[in-house]
Amino acid sequence: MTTPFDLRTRREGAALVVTLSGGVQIDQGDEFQERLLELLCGSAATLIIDLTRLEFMGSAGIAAIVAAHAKAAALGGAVHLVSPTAALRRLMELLRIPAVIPIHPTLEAAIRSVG
Amino acid sequence: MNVPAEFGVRDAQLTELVIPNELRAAREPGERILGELQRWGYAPDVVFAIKLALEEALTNAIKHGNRNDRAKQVVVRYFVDADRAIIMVRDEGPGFTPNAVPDCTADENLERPSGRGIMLMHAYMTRICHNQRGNEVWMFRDNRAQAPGGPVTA
Repeated sequence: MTTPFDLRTRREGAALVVTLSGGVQIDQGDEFQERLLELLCGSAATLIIDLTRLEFMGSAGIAAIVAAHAKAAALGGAVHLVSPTAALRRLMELLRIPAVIPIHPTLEAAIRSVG
Repeated sequence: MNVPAEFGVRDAQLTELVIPNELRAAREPGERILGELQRWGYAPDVVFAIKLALEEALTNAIKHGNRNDRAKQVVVRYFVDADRAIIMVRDEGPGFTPNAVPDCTADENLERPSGRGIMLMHAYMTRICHNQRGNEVWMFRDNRAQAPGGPVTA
């Protein structure tokens, strides 16, 4: 079974790198969204969300990322996604998320893009 | 509504769970059904598809059907064998009209906070049907079905 999501952050220039692992469980959508939005209340307006180790999320997780994207844009920043699993990438493509939020193959590529 | 005849099982073969109308309580049917999928050796991408569809159905039932009313309940019925997984989720709400849900992939809806669940259930399961009232969804997943819930290549 997938474990509940874990979220860790570190500063990378003007951006905050958010590393996720585990899975966003059915009852964790609100908590996931609150955690992302809280990060944008600090000094960072740009989040680089590393999905490499995130095993699962449904539409509640996607909605949280979209909400963070909207808030970041309002603050003059952006949300960038990094290396989702094949299943999560397919999910995001199905929902046309890449049309509004960039997805990078590696963390280095995402950091360079916000440079 | 009984299990649709084309799903190929009898009503008596389904296991039923009744849970309180809380997202935390919705973990139990998920764990039970995922346990069955693993017992039958479903591939990880098919497990992902069924887990996703189940979560969307349960979330819709709890939040939209029962409107987060803790006095209400959600009924889950399921059947899993080597060939198929069948899941029913029913709430106590007034129901809805599936065709009236806006297209979440239209440009103007891409950044909306909600409205993706129904589309995902259709995308990841082989067959979806609702009762006439619209408060009960039946989902069928053929274990051999292909994309978008089919085999994933890295």
